[in-house]
Amino acid sequence: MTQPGTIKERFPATAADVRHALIRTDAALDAGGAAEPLRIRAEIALGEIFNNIVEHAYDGAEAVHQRDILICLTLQASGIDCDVRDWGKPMPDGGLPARPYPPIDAGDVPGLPEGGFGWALVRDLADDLCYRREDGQNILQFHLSQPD
Amino acid sequence: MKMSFEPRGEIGVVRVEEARIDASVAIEFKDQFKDLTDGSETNVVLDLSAVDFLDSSGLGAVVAARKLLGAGRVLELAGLTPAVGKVMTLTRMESIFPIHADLEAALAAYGPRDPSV
Repeated sequence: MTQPGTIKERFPATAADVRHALIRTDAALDAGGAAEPLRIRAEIALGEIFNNIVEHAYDGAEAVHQRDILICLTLQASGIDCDVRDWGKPMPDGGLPARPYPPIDAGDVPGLPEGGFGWALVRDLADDLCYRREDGQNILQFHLSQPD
Repeated sequence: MKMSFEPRGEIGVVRVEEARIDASVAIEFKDQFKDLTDGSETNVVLDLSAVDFLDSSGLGAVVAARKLLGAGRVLELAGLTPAVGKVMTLTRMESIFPIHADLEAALAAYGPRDPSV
């Protein structure tokens, strides 16, 4: 049974389903009393993590019978405890990419970065990021703290 | 996705009439921006006041739009909602995009179009 303050969802790993899941999650967090700065933090971080699953974990020709994303979010006074799972490929090198924001040189318009922001945003916004592979599942757990 | 272009003297206004610029519409955004601004040679202000959410794919598409204008033109941003502003701040985009509170402020920064009015 779902406890008050807990949001559980399972949805297909497609860009369109990610969009709808983010909209539903934001509404559920709002209904649960989460203030806007925390909800913004959640939407940005979860969006990047979901997109990464769609584009990388489930990328390629491997037959995956469960092409879904499973989330469990627990709203607490300190923020949101998050658990995100998928059945796709493991992270390359078994860990999370340690990626800083791409450098920006305003004087070099053709060289401006169009990508590489995703994991930097996640690392910036999420605390206690923990990844493990278990029974064919990627399990990503982290905490989104109440912004100051 | 719904986008429009309106020339306003020395600057063109591209307005996004969608609530989200995310991975599912990023390519479409870039293509439409190109089509809308192709004939003009002015700077462009991108009015994002209707956009509630922008992910890193959407951000990449806005950067791509900036590149389409080339080094000789400027892409300015107006009307950032809280989530969009947060992404721009975290990724240090203020260093490449002049940012205005809203479209009126962006147009005002270009001064009166016609002194006789």
